[in-house]
This record gives sequence, C-alpha cells and structure tokens, in this order.
Amino acid sequence: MPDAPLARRHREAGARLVEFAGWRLPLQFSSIAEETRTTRRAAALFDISHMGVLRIFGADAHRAARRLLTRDTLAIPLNCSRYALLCNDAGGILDDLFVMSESRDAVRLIVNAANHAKDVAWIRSHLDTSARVAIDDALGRTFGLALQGPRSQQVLQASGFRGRLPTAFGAFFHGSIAGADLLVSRTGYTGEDGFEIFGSAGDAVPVWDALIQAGADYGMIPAGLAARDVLRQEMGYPLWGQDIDDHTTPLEAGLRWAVDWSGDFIGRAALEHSQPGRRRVGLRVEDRGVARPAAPILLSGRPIGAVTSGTYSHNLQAAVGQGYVEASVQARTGTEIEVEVRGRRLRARIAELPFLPARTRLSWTRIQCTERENENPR
Amino acid sequence: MRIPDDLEYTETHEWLRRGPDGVTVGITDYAQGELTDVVFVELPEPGRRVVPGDEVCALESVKAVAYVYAPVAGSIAAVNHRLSTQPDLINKDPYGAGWIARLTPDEPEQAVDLLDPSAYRTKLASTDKAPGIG
Repeated sequence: MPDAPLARRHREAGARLVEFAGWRLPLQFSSIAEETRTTRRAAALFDISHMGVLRIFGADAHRAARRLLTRDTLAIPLNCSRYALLCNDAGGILDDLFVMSESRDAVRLIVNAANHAKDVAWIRSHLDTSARVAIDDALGRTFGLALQGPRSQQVLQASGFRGRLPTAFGAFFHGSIAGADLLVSRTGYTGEDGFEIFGSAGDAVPVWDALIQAGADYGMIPAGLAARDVLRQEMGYPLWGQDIDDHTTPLEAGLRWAVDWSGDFIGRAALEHSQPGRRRVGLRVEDRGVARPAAPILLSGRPIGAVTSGTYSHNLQAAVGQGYVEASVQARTGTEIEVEVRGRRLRARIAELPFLPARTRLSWTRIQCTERENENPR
Repeated sequence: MRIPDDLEYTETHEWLRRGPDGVTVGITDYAQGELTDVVFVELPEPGRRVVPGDEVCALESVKAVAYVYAPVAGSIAAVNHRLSTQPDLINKDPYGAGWIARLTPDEPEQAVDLLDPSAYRTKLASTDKAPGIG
C-alpha cells in the first residue's frame, strides 16, 4: 500500500486515512460539515496525488488523442484543458478525465486513480504502432493538490507562487511555489473557483506547507476525500464507478456536451446509433433519510430506476443524490418520486443539476479558455 | 481515540454505562469516526422491548448508515431527543451529550458478551482498517 507523498503530513494533522485505489489517502481532517462549508465560503486544500498523470507525446499525439477521446484536442487552445471521456467501442465510458493541450506534440491526461492502470493499457493497445506517438505514465512520480474555494487565488498568490496565473477556467501554466516547478491549472471538481497543482512527488511537502501556511490568513483548511465527494455531488458531477462506468454512455449520463463530433473516435459509431434507454437525473430527498447507491427510484409506486450516488449536504441542508431513470418516463424537475431505503419509501423529487450554481471563473460546461499559444512559456 | 475506563463495550462498537436508572447506550469514538458526520438519527420508541442484538436505532451519516444494537434485554426507558435536531452530538461528544438511549434491563446483570476497556482497545488494534470510500 503506497503512502501518497503527503501521508506523513496528513497523519501529523490528525487526518483519518483510508485506502482508495491502492493509495492511502486522507478521508477527513476535521468534519465533513466543516470541510464542505469552508470550501464554499473560503477555501480548502485537497490532496489529489492519487490522480493519474499520463502524457501522450510525439508528432502524432493530437491525432492519437482525437481517436481515443470524445474531444478534438487540436480544437482546444494550447494551455487550456477540457473535461473529456475515454470510450470503448460500444460507447461506454472507460474513464472521465481532464485533457490538457500542452503543445503541438503533447497532451496530458488527468485520470481517475481507480482507472489508471486500465487507461494506460487501453491507450497503449490502441496507439497506432506506425504512428509517431508514445505515452508516459508518471505513476508514483507526481503529487497533486486541489486548492478550491472563492479565496483560492488570494491563497495561491500569498504562497509565494511565481509564474503566470491562469485566469480562465481550464487554463494552465507552469509556475513555482517554494522553488518547486509546478503545473498550475484553473480547474477542479467542486464547482468553486480554484486551482489544481501538479508537481514532482519529492516537492509535495514544501508546496503543501507553503499553501497551508498562506491559507491560514484566509480561513483555508485541509479537506479530505469525503468532503470532495459531497462537493462534487452538490454540483451533480458524476463519479466514475458510481454514476458512470464502462456500461454507461455519455448520452445516458447527460454528458453529450463533452463529446465533440467533429472527428472520428472510438465509440462514435455506437453512440450515433444508440437510443438511450435511461437518463441521469438529480434528486432531492424530502423525508428524513439519505438515498444511497442502488436504492430503487419509484414513480407512482412503480420502479423506474435506481440511485447511483447519494449523500447529505450540509451546504444545502438536504439529502441529495443522482441516479438513472427510464428515458421514456415523464420525470421532470419537481416530479414527485420515492426512493426506497431499507424497506421504507422516502418522499423525494427530481431536481435540476447542479444543486448549487457553479462559481468557477466561467461555467464548467461552457469553458472559454482562450489563453494564447504564443504566450506559452515553454 | 478515547476509550473511557469506566464503560463497557460491545463487539459492534456500542458503549454501556450501568447506573441506578438503567443502562445508557451510545456508540464509541472509533465508531463515530468510521461513520463520519451523523446527519439523521432514527430514535426508537420509548417503551419498546428489545433483546440482545436487536436494532435499537439507525444512524445515517454523510457516508453510510449504521445500526445501534441492544446489548441487553429490556425496554427502552428514555431516548436522547436532542439528537433529532443535533445529530452531530454523536460525533462531538460520543460518550456524553451524544448518548442514544437508556434501557431498563430485565435482569440487571444480564448482557451479551461485553468487552472491558482493555479488551476493546485490543479489538480495535486488530481491526485497524477503515471502510472504502466512494
């Protein structure tokens, strides 16, 4: 069981550590209530060192990426990133990820820890052997932090950050903190403004310390994976393995906006001919109780689907979740449904996602990252 | 992690305090930590009869649901109504303000196999594994 590069710091801080996808990671530092509230009111620092960092490089890198992903990476301005999907031949979602357009001959993928090995194997086996392209898997060599919340930029600037500050959601640049070379991206998975910071594993501790120290003046606290899971649910963002998987298509999951149809990609043909039989919806529980994954969703007493994620949100003061319902069912925002939890039927309603408005620098789904290529510091 | 010396413990992470007014039951500091923030408590009906192993109530947390099991046969004499509006008392003060229910045991000495503080400490040392997270 490899410790993440910051595990010792987390133990010293009294965090509860859990095993996740082969990593020992902080679940919680103070309480989920405090961590989720503070992220939206001030800022929080998350260790995301478990996220995989893959680099596809070579003269044919963008062509290879177009074939693998639901995005045309050539259409993404340099120094910008986009949410994208890696699909199988059936159009099922192998992984959801952020793809960064790094240069004319390189893209970087930030992938889920749970899918890291699978993604690398899939990509290797689908790279054209005659093409000028290779993949570098930085497993074990990197650390990652997510600095999220309205005061993130102030914290970053107070940490001694040097370099160009990405201003639009999705933009990224190289910079440094405490002398460590970093990739600093204006991204995240909480719905708040903020940054994701990637560097070499050996630099993790000084960078963490610099941000924690700077953040103290702005009310920033460290936060764990449990809070991160609640925050993404408040935004209706899917988690791979719960809300999307190999057997879910982007169309069913409501992720059509992450598909760029301008070129060919693995899964495209299947998606073009598929008729989604179900769709992902948000739900808000009105009775006292929490809807958990696999709980049946009922409409007028008839099962129409199941919950895939559910939690209690202290920010919303409500139990919320997401799940899939039959596409043919008339279930609109506000429609009364029931969720069956331990034999009890809880009253709930179909809810619009997200539950809270995104406060990223620009909307999460309509990214307008237009950082200029000629300003690329590399 | 606190394991007070004046309490008894169960294999399922409840604590018991025997007093003149009955047996007070709650969940341990370890249990509340594993559960994460408690958000709803389904309190039992006072007067309900229970036997060892019966579910006394369900605790819903942000991450999971857990059950509190009766450690003795008897009836529910009192419940901690403050938990209805302040479920996080279980997290903040599991051995005090976060108590869950008081039972009147049928026979004062009868109970399931209970652990003394040192036995409970030993049990935790051998189960040092947190549940997975989503």
